[in-house]
Amino acid sequence: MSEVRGQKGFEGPSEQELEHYIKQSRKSLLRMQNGKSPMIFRPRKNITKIVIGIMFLLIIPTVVLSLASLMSNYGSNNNFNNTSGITTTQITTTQITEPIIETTTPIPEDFDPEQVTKNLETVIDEMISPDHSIITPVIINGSINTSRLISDTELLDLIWYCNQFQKDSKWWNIGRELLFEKFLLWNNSYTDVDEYELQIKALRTFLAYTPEEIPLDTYNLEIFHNACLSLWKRILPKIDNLTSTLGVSPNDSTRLTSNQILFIEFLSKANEFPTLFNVSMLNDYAKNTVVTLDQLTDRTTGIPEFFDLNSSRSSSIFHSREQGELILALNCLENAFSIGSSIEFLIDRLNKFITNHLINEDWTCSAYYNSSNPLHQPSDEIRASDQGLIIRCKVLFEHLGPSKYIADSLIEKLKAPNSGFYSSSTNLNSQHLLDQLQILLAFQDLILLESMIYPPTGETSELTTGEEPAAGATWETSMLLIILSISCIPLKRKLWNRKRANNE
Amino acid sequence: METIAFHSYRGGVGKTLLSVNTAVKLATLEKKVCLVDFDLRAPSLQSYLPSKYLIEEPGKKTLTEFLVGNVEPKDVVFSTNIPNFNCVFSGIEILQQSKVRSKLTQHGEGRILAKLFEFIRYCNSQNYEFLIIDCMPGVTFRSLDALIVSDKIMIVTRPVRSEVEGLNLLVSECYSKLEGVEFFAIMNQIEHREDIAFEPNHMDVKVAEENVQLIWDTLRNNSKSLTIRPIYSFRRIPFVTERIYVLRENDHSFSQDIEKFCNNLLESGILQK
Repeated sequence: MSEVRGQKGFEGPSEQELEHYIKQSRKSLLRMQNGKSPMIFRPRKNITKIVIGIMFLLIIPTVVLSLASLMSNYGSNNNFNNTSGITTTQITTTQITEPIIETTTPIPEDFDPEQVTKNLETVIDEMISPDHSIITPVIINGSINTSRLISDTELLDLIWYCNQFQKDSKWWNIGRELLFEKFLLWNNSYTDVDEYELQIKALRTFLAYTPEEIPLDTYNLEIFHNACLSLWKRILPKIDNLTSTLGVSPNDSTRLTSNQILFIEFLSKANEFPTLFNVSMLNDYAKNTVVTLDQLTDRTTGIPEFFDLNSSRSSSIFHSREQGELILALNCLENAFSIGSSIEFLIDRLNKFITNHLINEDWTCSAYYNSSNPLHQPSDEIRASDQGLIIRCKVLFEHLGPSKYIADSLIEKLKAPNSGFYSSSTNLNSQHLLDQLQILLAFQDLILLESMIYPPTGETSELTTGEEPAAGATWETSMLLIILSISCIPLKRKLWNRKRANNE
Repeated sequence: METIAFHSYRGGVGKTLLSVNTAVKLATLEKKVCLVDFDLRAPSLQSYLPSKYLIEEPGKKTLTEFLVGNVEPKDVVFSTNIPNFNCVFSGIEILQQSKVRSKLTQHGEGRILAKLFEFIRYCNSQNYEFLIIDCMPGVTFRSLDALIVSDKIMIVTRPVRSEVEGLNLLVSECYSKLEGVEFFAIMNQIEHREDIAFEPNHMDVKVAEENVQLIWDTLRNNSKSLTIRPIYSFRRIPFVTERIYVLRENDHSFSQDIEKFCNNLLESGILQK
């Protein structure tokens, strides 16, 4: 095998690199064909344990100092929200406004990594302890409100988002526990209701973890499989074989867009279960879905909020969220099926739409637009989670620049006193766990992209494994940890450059 | 403009001989052609096109210099005294410089691909009808660059058993992952009894014939996700030398083969007339 790759000094890609190289090259080529600048992409390499160690050494002392500062402030002043806002501002200003390369963090001489790790784990464990249950995490005016019960729909989404974290990471495992150990959601009779959106959402979430990752014994696994198949049988007749659109009731035409996204997410996961589903049929559905979306998506305005029952556009509103979710879902579909270049064009088209509507310099993308206005006048508000979604979309295209700018903008908003928690247009002071998870995901993807674009050397690592700040109780602490993690990236880069210079 | 890459699993199958003669033949058929020597490791186009064919122009550079330096695309295209035909050489000397070497031989971060695209865009602006790229064999980052920017790939092979395994790998690891490209297979160096003075061993003849069949089968059966069309079998040239046969040796069997090959490409619509 090595014979075919590489030729006397000319490096040949490994099997994994080859696919990555071709994919990135095609994206770059597409950009150039559209008159844009080429993409600079680096070999897909992973971070070394040594560098993780260095990052760990840098992050932990800062975290300890900041936590200590937070605790002290909290003790002296019960206005936790304001205090944390100010503290976060102080910490992040250096990273955001100063030239990145000049950022430095002092390392205390009496630093004890083991003790710090223990402290950190205690804090994280507390966040997800029964007293601070992750099921009822609604933060109102900066304090946790545990009275609200989570709905099935939210729970299904929660598991779905958890699954999107790095495999084996804390949140990834929490999602798995919720689905297979705590709630056993597949025992619920979703088949009894006549809501296809809920059914497809449930089925998509049930399939979130691959067969190898499902921790069930043979008996329960059979029940689980039967539940999935029952749901599928219920949904199957409602799928249009030509367009792969999911049937909607006459009163429910507005659901078409979100149903499409859910159906795509289901398809990309169902592919992992060839014993349950006919893969060739799934493949046909995937192809038809892409063709339908290609027809429904406008070249300049993306995908509208909803269509009428004949799949014609009936809305002049374009939500940035739908565009973003569709991009992420289509990307999963592309990885699961060999559909060809049409899906890439579709993703590229949706990406262009979002890019066009990122407001200059502010780099936020508004929640919705109205097509009747040629300038697509943005709405006043954008949810924090939507911004997180857009960061993820940009990361998908390895556009570090825009992602960073949007992230900076998001951090600026989150750290502002009294406004850091707003995410909902109806209640600016409430912050739901799902939104927090969306943002955590966005920052995780951003950090992973950084590590991919500025890779030190080979070997395996799980950058976020076990180090992700839990977002269950104290949003400030979570954000602080994330910001600190991001702030160490320039340091990492600086250290790496220095190391390379020394070697040379 | 159509970009056509000549690629193979291993060196020595006759890519350069075929690409040079095809390019010149197309030029004599009044097609405007640019031939690029993209075998950066072992360039050999200069042997086919010595100075007698080239129109002297000061300040001309090699493709290698263009790919790693600040050279304009127009500075690497050599004019020739063959009508409608221009060519681009690779420079092996510059590869001796360690910095250039590391830039060219390694991943490249998409920069070499971008330069190659810039060059193709330039050729497009010059109204070339065909850009023919003589690729580096095997799968290196640079051969991938050439394959990715091409519209059509001519896979050149020869009837030996080792090609079977190589082609299998090429198809499964590389060609199957390239999208939007058309693939064609060319068998080169087919032995003909009348070309040799002695009676060949019947076992050798049998094995050679089997190899041809095996390679065609390999390309047909292995490439489920893509179609590779066999388009021509070239007869082996005894005492082959590095020269342009199609220019002044129209009676030569190879020139006739090339003529048929080019006519096939144009008549069947593989290349735009």
